[in-house]
Amino acid sequence: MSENIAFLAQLLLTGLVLGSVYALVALGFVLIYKSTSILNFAQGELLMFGAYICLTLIIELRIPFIYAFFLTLAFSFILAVLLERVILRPMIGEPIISIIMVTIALSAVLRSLIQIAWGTETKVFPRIFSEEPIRFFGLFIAEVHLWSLIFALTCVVLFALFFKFSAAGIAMRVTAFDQQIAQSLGINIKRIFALSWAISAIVSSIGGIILGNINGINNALAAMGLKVFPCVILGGLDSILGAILGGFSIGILENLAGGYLDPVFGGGVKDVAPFVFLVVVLMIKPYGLFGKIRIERL
Amino acid sequence: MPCGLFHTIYKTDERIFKTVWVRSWLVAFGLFFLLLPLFVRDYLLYVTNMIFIFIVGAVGLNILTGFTGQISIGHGAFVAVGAYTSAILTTKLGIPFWIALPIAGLFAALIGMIFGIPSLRIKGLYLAIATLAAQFIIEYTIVHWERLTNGITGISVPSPILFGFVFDNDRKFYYLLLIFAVMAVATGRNLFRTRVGRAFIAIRDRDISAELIGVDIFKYKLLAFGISSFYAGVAGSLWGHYTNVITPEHFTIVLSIDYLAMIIVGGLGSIIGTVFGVIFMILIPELLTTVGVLLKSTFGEITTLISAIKGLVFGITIIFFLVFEPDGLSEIWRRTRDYWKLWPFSYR
Amino acid sequence: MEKRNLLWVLGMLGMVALIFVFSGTLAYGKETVKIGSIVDLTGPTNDIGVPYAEGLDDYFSKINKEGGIKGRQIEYFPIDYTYKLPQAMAAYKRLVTEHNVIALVGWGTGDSKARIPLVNKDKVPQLTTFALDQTEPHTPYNFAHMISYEHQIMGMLQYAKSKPIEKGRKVRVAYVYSDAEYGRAPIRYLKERNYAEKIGVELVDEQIIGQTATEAVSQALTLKKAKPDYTIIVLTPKPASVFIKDAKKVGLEATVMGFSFLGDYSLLKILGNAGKGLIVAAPCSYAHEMNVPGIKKIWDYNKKYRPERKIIDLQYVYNWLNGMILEEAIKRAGDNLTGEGIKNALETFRNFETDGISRPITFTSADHRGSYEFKLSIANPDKGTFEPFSDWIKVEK
Repeated sequence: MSENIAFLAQLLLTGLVLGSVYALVALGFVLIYKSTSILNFAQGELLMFGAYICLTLIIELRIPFIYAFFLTLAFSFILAVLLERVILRPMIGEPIISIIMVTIALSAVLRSLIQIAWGTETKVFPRIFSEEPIRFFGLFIAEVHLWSLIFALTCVVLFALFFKFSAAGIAMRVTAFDQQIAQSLGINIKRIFALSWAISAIVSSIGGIILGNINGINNALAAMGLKVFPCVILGGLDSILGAILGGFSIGILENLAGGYLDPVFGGGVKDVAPFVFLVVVLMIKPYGLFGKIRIERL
Repeated sequence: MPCGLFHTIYKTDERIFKTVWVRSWLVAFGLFFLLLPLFVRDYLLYVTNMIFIFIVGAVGLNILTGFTGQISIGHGAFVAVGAYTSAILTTKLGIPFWIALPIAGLFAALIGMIFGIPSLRIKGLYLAIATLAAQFIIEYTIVHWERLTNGITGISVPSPILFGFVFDNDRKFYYLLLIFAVMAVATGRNLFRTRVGRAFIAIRDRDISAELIGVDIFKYKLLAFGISSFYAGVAGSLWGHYTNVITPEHFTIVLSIDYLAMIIVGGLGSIIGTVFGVIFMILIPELLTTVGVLLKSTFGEITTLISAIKGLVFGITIIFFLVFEPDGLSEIWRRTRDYWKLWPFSYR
Repeated sequence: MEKRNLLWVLGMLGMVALIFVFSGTLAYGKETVKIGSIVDLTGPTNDIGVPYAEGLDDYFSKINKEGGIKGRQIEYFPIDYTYKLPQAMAAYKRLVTEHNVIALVGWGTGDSKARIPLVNKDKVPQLTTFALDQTEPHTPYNFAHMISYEHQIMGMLQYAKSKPIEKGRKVRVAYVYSDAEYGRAPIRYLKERNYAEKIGVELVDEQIIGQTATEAVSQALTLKKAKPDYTIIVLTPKPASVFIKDAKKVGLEATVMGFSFLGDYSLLKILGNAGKGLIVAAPCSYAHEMNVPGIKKIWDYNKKYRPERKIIDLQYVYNWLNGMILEEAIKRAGDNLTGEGIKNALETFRNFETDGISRPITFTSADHRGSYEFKLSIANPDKGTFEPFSDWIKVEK
C-alpha cells in the first residue's frame, strides 16, 4: 500500500478508536442535558472516577476484570444518584448558569477527592493485552485499541437499543422531550433525573476504563470533560444519535488535523482543531448537525 | 424603601445613593481605602491590588452575562488580548502606557465583538460553548504567533511612567488601581441608568419582546460583547503592567472560569455583587494557603493532602454557596441592608 | 436578624479577620533561617513535583532534627501553586513580604523565569531547575545546580552522532517536546544555533505533545514517516509515557532519549516492556545506587523517619542536593543571613563536594550554573531502574 494512503488509513483508524470513546462520553453528557438541561462540567471527573475504582478493585482487592467491571458500574450508579439527590435536586429551578457553576465546582471537588484517595502517580492496569500491534493490510492496530473499539461500539449499540425498546429508556426520552407530558403519563420525573445521571456516570466510567487501559490513569483524563463539548455541539445538544456521531467525527478530525496540519502550523493543532471546527459548524448550523431547530423568526 | 424619602423629580429618584446616611458611609469608605496602604503589609496590598484588577474584569463579564444574559466562558481570552496588546504596544512600539491602555481596551472590544457575532444565530448554551471555543482559539493564537507574542516565553512588560513618576511598587500601583476599580464600578452601575443598559436587561429578560418593542437585539448584543471585552482588555493591560510579565499560561480557561465564579457567587446582575464576588474568590485561596502554612508550622510535614484539601474546600464552599444562596452575595447584602433600614423595629 | 443571614455575615467577617491576623508567621522562638519554595503538588506536573518537594522538605527536617545550623532552625515554607502563574506570583509575594525568606527554590520553568526580574530586585536568590543558560549578567540572583536541558540535549546529540547506523547517511534525529515553556525553550535555543547541523546529524522532524495528552498516535505516525534513528524527548513522565507507548503501538523504531526528569521509576512501571531501550540523561545519582555515600545518607534518614517510603525518585535526590547546597551557603554566610549574603556565599562555591551524588558544584559571579556534566543511563524494565552506562559527559558551554 502506498505510504500516503497507509498514513491516512492509520489516522482514520486511530480516529475511529478514540472517537468511540468520545462517543460514549458524549452520550452520557447529552443524556444529562436532554433530561435536565444541565451542562455537566464534571463529566471528565466521572470518567476518572470509574477508571480509578476499577483499578483499585482489580489491583487491591484482586477481583477479576469482569466482576470488577460490573462492580465499578454499580459504584458509579450509586455515586451519580447521590450527587443528583444531594447537590442537583435543590438546584432545580435556579438559573442555568448557577447550575453550570455547581457542576464546575463539583468537578474541582471530585478531582481533589480523587487526588486524596489515589495520589498523583500515573497508574496502570495490569497487562491484559499484548504490546505487539496486530498488522493487516500494512496497517497497525494495537490490540488494546481494537478491543476498545469493539467494546465501545457494543456499548453504543446496547444503549441505543435500551432507549428505543426498554420501558425505562422510553420514559427517559419522554421526559427529555417534555417534562409536563411525562408527568401526566405518570412518570416519576425525579427518578428519571437520577437515572439519567446514573447512566451518564456509567458510560463515562466505561470510557474511563477503556482510556485507562490504553495509556494509564492519571488526572489528565479529566481533560476529556472539555473535549466532549465539540462532540456534543457538533451533533446537537438535543440528539443522542448526534452525540455518538459527533464523538466519532471529532476523534477522526483530531487525528487528521494532527497528522496533516501539525507540520504546517508547528504543532498543537490537534488540541485546537475541534474547537475551530465547532465554531465553523455553529456558523452554518447553529443547532449542530442533528439538533432540534428552534424556529425563531424576528 | 427607607422612610422619609419623597421624590418629586426623576433626577432625585434615579440617584444611586439616595440618602444622606448612605452618602456619608460612602465618604467613610472612601477615606478607609485611601488610607489603607499606610497601615497594611505589602503582601496584603498585593492581594488588594489583585482584587481591584479583577473587579474591573468581572464588572465587564457581569455586564455581558449578568445583565445581558449572554453566557460567556471565554472572558479570560479577552483579558489576554488586552494584556498582550498593551504589552506589545509598550515594548515593541514604545507607546506609553497611558495611550496603550485604552487602545488595548478598544482592541479587546473589537475582538470581543467579532466573537460575539455568532450570538446573532446561536443562543444560550450553544453560545456559551462558542465562547469556550473562542478561549481556546485565542490561546492557541497567542502561543503560536511567536513573532508577535514571543509565544510561550511571554513578554516582559515595563511599569507605567507618568511625568517621570514610575509605578513600580505595590503601594503606588494601589492608588492607580483604586481609581480604575472605582471607575469600573461607577461606569458599570451608571450604565444601567441609561438607555443602552436598559436595552441589555430587556434582552436578558425576554429578547423576543425586546425586539418587538424596537430594541435592535443584534446591535445591542454586539455592543454588550464589546463593552464587556473593553473592561476585560483594560483589566488585562493593568495586570500585565503590574506584574511586569505575561505569558499565555496566565490566561487559560481557568481564568475564564474564575471570572464566572466571581460573578455568580457575587450575584448576577448586580454590580455591588461583583465586588463581593471578587473579594470572596480571591480571599478564599489566600486564606487556605495561610491555613496550609499554619498547619505545616504546627505539624512540620509537607503533605499533598493539605494542598488537595485546599481544592476540595474551595469547591465545596462554592457548591454550598450556590445551593443555599443561589442569588449570590449581593442577595445577602441586600437582606442585611434591608434589615438595618428599619432597625430597631424588627419587621419581617 | 434572620439567623441564616447572620451566620453568613459573621462567617465572612470571620474569614477576613483570620487572613489579616494570621498572615504572619508562627514564631519558632529562637532566631530561624527562613527558606521558601514554590512547588507543584496538585497541578499537571505533580507526578514529579511531589517527590521534588519532599526531597527538600526531608533535608530540612533532617537538619532541624540534628540541631539546625549553628543552633538556628530552618523554617521552611513550601507553597503549592498548582503550576498556575498567578498563584506563583502570589506565593512569591507572600514568601518575600510576609515570611521574609532569604532564599527560595523554584520548580516550573515558566514561573521561575518570570520571577527573575523580581528576585533580582528583591535580592532573594532562587535555586531553579531552570532550562536556560545562566551566564547572562542580568540574572545575579538565579542559580541552578544541574546541567541545563539544552546542554543535556547537546550531549545526547553528540552521543547519537557517535553511534553511526549505517554508512552513507547522517544519523537522523527528531525532537518531541512539550508545549510548555520547559519544552519549547531548549528546542528553540538549539534551533536558533542550528546545533544539529553543526555537529553533523540530520534533524528530520519535530512534534509537540500537550501536557495533558491522553494519546499521541498522530504525532507518532507523522514521526514514523520521517524515519528518525533517535527521538529526543523533553516531556514530563505523564505525556512521555503516552508518547512512548503510542510510538510502540504504531511501530516507530527509533531509540528514545529523554531529558533528566524522565529518570523516574514510576515511568518505567507504566511503560513496562515499552520502556526497553529508553536512554535518559542523569545529572546526579539515582537512589538505587547504594554505593554512593550521599545516597546512603538519604536512605538512612528515610529508614529512620519515613519507613513507609520504599521508592525514592530522581527528583527527590535532586532537591535533596539543593538542600545540601543551601545548608552550605547558610554556613558560609555566617551571620550575614540575608538574601544578598546567601547569594555571595553561593558564589564562593568551588568544586563543592556533594558526597558523590553529583559532580562537584561551582558557582562563580559570572556563571551560576553548578555543573555541565551528566551521565547517560539506560532503562532496565525488569529491574524497574535506570542503569548509568556512560562516564560523566561534559558539555561545553
